[in-house]
Amino acid sequence: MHDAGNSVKDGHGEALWYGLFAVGGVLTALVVPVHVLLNNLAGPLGLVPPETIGYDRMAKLVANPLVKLYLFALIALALLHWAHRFRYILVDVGIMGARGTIAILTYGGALLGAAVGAIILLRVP
Amino acid sequence: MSTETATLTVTRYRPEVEDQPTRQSYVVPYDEDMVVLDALNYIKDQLDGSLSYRWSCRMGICGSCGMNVNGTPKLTCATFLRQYQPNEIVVEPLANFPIIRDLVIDLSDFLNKLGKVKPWLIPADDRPLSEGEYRQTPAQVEDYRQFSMCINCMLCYAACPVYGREPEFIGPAALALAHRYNMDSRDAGRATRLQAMAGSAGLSECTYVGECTVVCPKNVDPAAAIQRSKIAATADWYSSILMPWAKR
Amino acid sequence: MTVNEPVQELKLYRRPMPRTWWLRNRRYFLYMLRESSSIFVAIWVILLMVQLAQLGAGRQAYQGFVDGFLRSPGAILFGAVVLAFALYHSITWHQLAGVVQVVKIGDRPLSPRQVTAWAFAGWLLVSVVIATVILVV
Repeated sequence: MHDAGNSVKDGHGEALWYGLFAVGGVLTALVVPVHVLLNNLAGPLGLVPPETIGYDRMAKLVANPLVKLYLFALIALALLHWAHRFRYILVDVGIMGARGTIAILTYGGALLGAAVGAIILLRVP
Repeated sequence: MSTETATLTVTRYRPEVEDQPTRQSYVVPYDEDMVVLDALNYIKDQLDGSLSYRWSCRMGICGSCGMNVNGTPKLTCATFLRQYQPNEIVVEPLANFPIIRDLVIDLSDFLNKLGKVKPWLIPADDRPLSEGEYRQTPAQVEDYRQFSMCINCMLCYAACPVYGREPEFIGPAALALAHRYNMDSRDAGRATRLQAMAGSAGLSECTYVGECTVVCPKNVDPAAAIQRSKIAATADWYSSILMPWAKR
Repeated sequence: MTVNEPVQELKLYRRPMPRTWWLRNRRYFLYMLRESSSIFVAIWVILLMVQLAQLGAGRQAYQGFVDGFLRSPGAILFGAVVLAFALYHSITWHQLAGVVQVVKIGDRPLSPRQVTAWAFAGWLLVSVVIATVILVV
């Protein structure tokens, strides 16, 4: 049942997720293409030296705490960006529950993913 | 005189005799200077006086004649038949609004929402006339000028899929006009308007489809107004949480 | 009686909006495509997490991931798809930056085209810096 209220209290929680969506959008717009190009295409295809995605280089890069922080931000914000956009895609195609179930599943899923990402990064020496 | 003709297929809805809208086709004389409104007026004058539709200035400033022409929201006074000729021209009531009769829609929802955003100047204090006029530099006018061009024609509501699926959504024009007043240096009503703008059927529902801006006949760019308002409202909210002492 | 109350009972007809509204015109469809790009980016991020997990598991595990997955034709094809969607997100996002963000030099605002140009320049710069770090540093 769609919430037809229009109170400030109703809507202000939305600013939280929209803000995360917006920052996530900026970050993913800036960095994802170059990462996908190098890590998932140029590297595996050998268009750049294979060491680029090799264990030694990757371990060296990710050992740096600043790199870990950057990767965590990328993971968390990309997932939160997805959550907000996907939530509204579902509403766009007529699936109800935007404020309830869908919100919990999308934002919750993104937060869970971010937590998993943090754990994974902390386990890289 | 040219004997060329155009075919208009028009929505008919007579609530006193039918439960569903139907369609009726008319053949009108055609020349390349005619707009859809001319064709409708010809139908009403010469062929079928029972056809109901709204129009007024016939020059794109009153905002009365908005209808869906071949699926796109248009001002019929500004839409030339030659764009479609020799194909059939389908004229339907403005999308996303309930139909009262034929091509006439019920716009009370829009008027209600317009009122909610208080589209008038709310000054910081009551200045008596003796204190003189408000002054604005050209740069200050430029801050809001584009958004003041709205003629309340509601084409943006017809184009907006969010309004289509969620009639509670306050909608593009109302939000763009709220933004127009928020950006006016004479105005101090931003907090007052926030109630309507930031509610659960307000700014947050817009997903920047952008069709409102595409169909706007006055280049208001309501989508831009909405995104700017969203960013401002979000920044405000975050600063109120992270820096509660800061004055906004 | 308020201004908005009808004088007589109206039998209004409400037209239903189909769920396939976004197939109705090109711009609606491109909007859906743009929104869907976030799905592919999210999947890529999850794959990145798997790659990092394998990195944490040691040289053999990581090399197995690179050879067995990253180098597989399926993964490369998926990478191309993700790149296409990621580029679409980036291009549309930076194009809209000029419309959404007003930038003023003193009193005068930059035109949307100028802001967009700077946004694209910034994107290029960031990409070059990241590529340099990954390839050279």
